[in-house]
Amino acid sequence: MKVLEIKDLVIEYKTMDGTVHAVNNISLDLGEGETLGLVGETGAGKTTTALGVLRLIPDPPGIIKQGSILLKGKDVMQMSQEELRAMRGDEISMIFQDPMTALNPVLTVGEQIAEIYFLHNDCSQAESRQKAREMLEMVGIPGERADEYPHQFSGGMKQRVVIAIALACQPSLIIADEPTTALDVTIQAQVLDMMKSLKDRLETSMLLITHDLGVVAEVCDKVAIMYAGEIVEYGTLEHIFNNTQHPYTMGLFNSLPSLDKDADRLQPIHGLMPDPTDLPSGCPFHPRCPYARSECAETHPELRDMGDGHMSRCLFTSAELGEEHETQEEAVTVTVSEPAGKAAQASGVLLEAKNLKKYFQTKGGLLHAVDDISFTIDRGKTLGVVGESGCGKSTLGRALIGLNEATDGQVLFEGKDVTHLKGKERRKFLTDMQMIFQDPFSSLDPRKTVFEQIAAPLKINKVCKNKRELEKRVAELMDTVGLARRLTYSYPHELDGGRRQRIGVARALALEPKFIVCDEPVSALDVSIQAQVLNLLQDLQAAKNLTYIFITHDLSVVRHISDDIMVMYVGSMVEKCASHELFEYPLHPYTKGMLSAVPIPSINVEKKRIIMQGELTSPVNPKPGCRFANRCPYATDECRSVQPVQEEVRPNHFVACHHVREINGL
Amino acid sequence: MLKFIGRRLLVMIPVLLGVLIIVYALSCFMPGDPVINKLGTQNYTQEQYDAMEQQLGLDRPFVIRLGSYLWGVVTRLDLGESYATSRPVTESLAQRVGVSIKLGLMSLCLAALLGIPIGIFSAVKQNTIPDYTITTLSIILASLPGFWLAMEAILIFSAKLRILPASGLTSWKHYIMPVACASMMTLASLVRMTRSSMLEVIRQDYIRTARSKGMKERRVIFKHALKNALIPVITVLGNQVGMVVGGSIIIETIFNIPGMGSLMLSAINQRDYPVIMGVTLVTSVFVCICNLVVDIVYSLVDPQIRSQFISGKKRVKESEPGKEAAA
Amino acid sequence: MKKKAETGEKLRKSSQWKDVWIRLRRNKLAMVGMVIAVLLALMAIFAPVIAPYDYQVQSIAERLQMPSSQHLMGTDNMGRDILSRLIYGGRISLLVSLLAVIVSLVIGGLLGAVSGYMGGMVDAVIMRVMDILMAIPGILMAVCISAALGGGVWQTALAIAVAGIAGVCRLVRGQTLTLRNQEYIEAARASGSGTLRILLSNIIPNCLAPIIVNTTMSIGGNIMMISALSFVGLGVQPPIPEWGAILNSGREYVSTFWPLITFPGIAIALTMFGFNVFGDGLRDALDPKLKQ
Repeated sequence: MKVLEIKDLVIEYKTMDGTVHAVNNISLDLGEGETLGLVGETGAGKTTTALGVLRLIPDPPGIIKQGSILLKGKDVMQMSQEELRAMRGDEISMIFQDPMTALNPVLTVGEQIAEIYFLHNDCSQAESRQKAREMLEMVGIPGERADEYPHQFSGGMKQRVVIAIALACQPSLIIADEPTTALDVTIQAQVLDMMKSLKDRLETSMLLITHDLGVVAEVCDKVAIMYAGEIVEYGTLEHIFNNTQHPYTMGLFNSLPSLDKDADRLQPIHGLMPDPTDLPSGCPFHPRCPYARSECAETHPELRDMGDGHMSRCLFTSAELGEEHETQEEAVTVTVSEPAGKAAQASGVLLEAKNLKKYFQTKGGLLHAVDDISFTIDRGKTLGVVGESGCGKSTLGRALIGLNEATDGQVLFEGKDVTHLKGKERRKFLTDMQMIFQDPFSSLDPRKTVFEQIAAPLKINKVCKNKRELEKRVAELMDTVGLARRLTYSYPHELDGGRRQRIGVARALALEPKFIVCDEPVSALDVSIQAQVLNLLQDLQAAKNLTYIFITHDLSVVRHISDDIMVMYVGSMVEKCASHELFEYPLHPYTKGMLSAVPIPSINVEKKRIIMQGELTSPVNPKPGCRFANRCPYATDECRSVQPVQEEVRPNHFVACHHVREINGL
Repeated sequence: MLKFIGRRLLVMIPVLLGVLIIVYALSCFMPGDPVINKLGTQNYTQEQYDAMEQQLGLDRPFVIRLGSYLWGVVTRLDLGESYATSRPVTESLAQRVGVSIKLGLMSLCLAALLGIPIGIFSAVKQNTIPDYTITTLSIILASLPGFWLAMEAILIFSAKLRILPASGLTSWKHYIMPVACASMMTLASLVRMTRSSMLEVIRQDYIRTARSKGMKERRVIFKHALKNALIPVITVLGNQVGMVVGGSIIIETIFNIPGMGSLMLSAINQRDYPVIMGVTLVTSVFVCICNLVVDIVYSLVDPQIRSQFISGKKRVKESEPGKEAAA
Repeated sequence: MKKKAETGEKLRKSSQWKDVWIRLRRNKLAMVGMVIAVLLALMAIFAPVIAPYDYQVQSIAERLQMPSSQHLMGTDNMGRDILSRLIYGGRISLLVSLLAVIVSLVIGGLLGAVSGYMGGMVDAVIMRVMDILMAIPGILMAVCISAALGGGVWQTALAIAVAGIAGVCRLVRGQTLTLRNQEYIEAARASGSGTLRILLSNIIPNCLAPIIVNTTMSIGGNIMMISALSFVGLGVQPPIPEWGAILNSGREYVSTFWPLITFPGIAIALTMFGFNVFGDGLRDALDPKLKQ
């Protein structure tokens, strides 16, 4: 019997702007022990579907308008409140996206696990507490930590606790909503691995909601791709990955930068997800579809079988789609006013960091955010900096540009020491070096229009002589980054993430800098938008001979955009070399583990996974020795007492590890 | 925990010294001459005046007077002598302070013990008739000044209905009107605060988690939402202590209650600086202690704060150490 | 949202405040509050036109008259028309309250912004001073200052203002602390903005919403404080009519003549109510969480 069968589910939200058609006619089913991946970008209706299954849609404003949800044959829509409560947590349990907010901050984690067991089982408080300890052990947390509060756990640990709660009653179905999105890649690998093995052991089915096709390839049996509240393609992993039918799914795959091949340009899906209060006529994807024909705007396609249960909601099969049409990209028309920027075609070292250190005084002690890092960047090149959260990569970027003044060491820009500039000199230096920030929401002042945001650096540095010139310059910049001029007086909250990030790029370009620090510029964006912004950055680099430092946690993005890559771990640099070299011959044990942890969006690659146990060491008052020693399978006493220095192991390939030669047989 | 309380008590000392300095400085600006007040007549000779000035110690420079006053307070708890009655300030304060603190505490407790439960009730019953009634009433009550309420209450309950006494403080009946009037405004704002805080908490993710566990709504509210919702309410309560105490001092004068309020007012009329400073100091000590209690309650509710007190250091968030440290 | 961005550019410039206004208009209670506030302001401005009698004319023969068609709210212990005195009293109350709000806003706001943005020693010193101010209950503080400075419109305004500084300072400091770590502040620094420029052009405009709400509410709260001061015989001195002073003059007749207590009380309460609900409505309308 099917564990879950959803038929023609329609969920709407009534808002002041109109009715939001969040979920339109969704049907799917899930067999015993199966894992179904529900994939889509922000606003596709994934989470609403999940909440609908539990009948937890906040009402008002949401209503389940029609459809049936059968859980092992019983209709959830017909259940009384009493029956629903008995079902929630016991039959179906849910893992929410953000472990930081999913746990109650004022109750111990033990209580929060024990509670669900106590609710659904006829047992004593003591038994349920015992069960809580067992569950903690099962997800790899020592049982005695049951008496601690959520804030005493790291993000990965919290998500383990959430999983322990979800599994406590051995439900027949787990709904996991982006369970690893908030986690670092090595921690994600640990958690996914654990979820898979526990799911098999307990024989539960799982509905996995995610935007990450890599995760899907790793854990799912079946996949449903959602777009604008509908399922557009539905089938087995094999169907979706190797016989893609729907143009949207193809677009998703093409937007992804790849770990194992070099592509010059990504092919993003143009445009934006439609407004769910006002869906386009016909196929909701047709305005963005490169294959769209006239009938697509008129006929709303039905989900139809392409053979062997592989469903696609397109009027055509992939064979019938034919040639891609020219799409109307918000084109990048880089205006080369000066001969290709200030330093056309020049090469050589642009920026050098020498033994750069940035420490912060915290109440717990001295936090070594950046600890003795040296590197050089050549003009016109991109240095990627990768690492997990808390490794100090953002602090490094900020120290370079002087937002966090370095504690020790030097930053040389074009041979000049710019580490401790003040006042006018600093302002002059900033015209050469700019920054693009991570969060397209918080990096723009909410009370300033697009014009004011972009004009600010020009005004401060008095670049333009008069208002007309300023307006002209801002308009040029908007053209450069592909922002339509009609948005000149819009406020950030009226724009989507991709457009906001373009504002950030325009602002950084305003002073015609030679060097830009890009701090996770695409990590808050959906893949299709991410590809648009990455292309923009590459085009600009080519046109203006820009030099980038590209800080990110995303290995496939960094591979796509960088010439050289530096890997950081808890404040120190562990490996640095050319981009392709790092992916082909990773030498440091941490790099190897991290690379193997990245889920690859393909089912044809056999990969060996090294699961790194443990978590990042604290950068506060670090012990002497290699920072990675506590997680490293090769660690010796030497590693625990002496910090390794970087050495050139292969040409232009620097590694900081005592045992790099033995490990790699060099 | 004890260490934390001790530390907080130590921090109170400079604050209270600051209070003394400010009030002492202010009192020296006050118009009117205590020397003349003390002499009680306009017909005096320069010698009489000088003698009295010397007797009151007012001939010395300001800084010296301030210094010796502070020294007296710190070493002997000596608040000086009242210019008007020549009795030690501590003595007249001692007679009256109990009454005022009793009234203040009762008003605070009434506000908290009624306001918070009513607020919770209102939030749980959101968008029902009881909720509308409570929210409307609390908006209105939050706009009624206590001293006016007190007069209306006398008008109605004492003059017209003759069921409650209008002045003095001899039986339990005497407490009803002053306490009710002094606490009403705070009570109303606590109701509103608790309600909105509760509604805010109910929107949080962990409440969704609790619901997805299949819990009864009551249990979700009382076990998961309540403690979290109380955290901001406690902060507000701490900020309101001063208001309640200050308000009840004024209300005392309306009901002719022999507390610090009437002492303060007569002192102001007679330019009796030592008494003014004494009253202010005692009130500030009371406010500080109330705030300390609020902080302790706070730490009992919020484990994050508690662990800070116990370990004495703040945990650094693992996500963004740079920013955290820069903050 | 996105669709709206496509319509005319002229409209765009004022859109943020327009959105706030649209949300505010939906809130009936807030509109009631606003109407009360506006009526009070009009009443204060046009007091000589509206008031049926001169507020100073005494007539012992007509003292303590109950409300009648001649004197809608009766007469006071000196035979003056209570309604006229209340109308003129509103003038004083609103004026003093506004003055006090502005003073505490400017001083407290600047101190708070500087304290929050600079941090370190500056912050420590300012906050310790605020701790001291917070330890003295506001009303006692106002009583002491008022006693020191003497009665009068300006002196009262100053007394109330000082009592309000600590509150504003803490509010603005808290806001500044959250804003300081926003990336757009870093972006401004990366564009070369100095401290003063960031404070004026980024931090203060973004603190505006809570400050506006707080200011609105303070106008009501201050009116109560002023009345309380006059009520205990400090603050604005007779014969200037002030609500608290009128109320005070009714104390002698508390059990015999209700109009002298009830009407000024209602005036104070109505004003506070108006500003409170208007402030509440503003807070909801300005709340960015409701924007989406």
